[in-house]
Amino acid sequence: MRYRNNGQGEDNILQNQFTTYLMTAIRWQKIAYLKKRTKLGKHEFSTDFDSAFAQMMEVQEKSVVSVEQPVLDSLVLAQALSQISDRERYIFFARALEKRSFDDLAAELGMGYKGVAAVYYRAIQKLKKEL
Amino acid sequence: MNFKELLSRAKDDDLQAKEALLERYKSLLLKEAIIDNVFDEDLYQELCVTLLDCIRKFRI
Repeated sequence: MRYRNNGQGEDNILQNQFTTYLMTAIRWQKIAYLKKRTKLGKHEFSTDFDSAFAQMMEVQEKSVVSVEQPVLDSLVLAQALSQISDRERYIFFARALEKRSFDDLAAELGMGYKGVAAVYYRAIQKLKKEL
Repeated sequence: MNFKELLSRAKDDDLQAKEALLERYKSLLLKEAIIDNVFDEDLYQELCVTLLDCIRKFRI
């Protein structure tokens, strides 16, 4: 197939002009289309929920449960501990077992001193209720 | 039918002439609709619309 005619004669000149005109329009259209697509891609949710969920869990595990959970000899205590949230459990262990200060924990978790203390005492209360 | 005649008829909303022009430029549009070695159907559709726009706007 010939992509270009020889440019001789009025008809061929016209066709070349039209093709050039079309090519310019196509180029702009493509740029606009690609921009739109990347824009949409940024706002789109991934439909791959399984991997997204796994990724989320991984991030959560990394950020929250960095303290090695001590071996629990009491089944009741283990059950009670499983009732409180990850954050409460983390703060509880860090405070009760590692004797870390609330200031220290607050700085690490990006919370206020009072916030950490509240979470800690709430965790204690929940545990008491469970036991 | 020469190109000028075809184009002017397409400008006058002649469906057959438009189809003939689309047929002529089809391979070019198909080629342009390939991004990263993948044919993008949506883009091809957009380019077909662009071609029809161009037929309308182009001044002989």
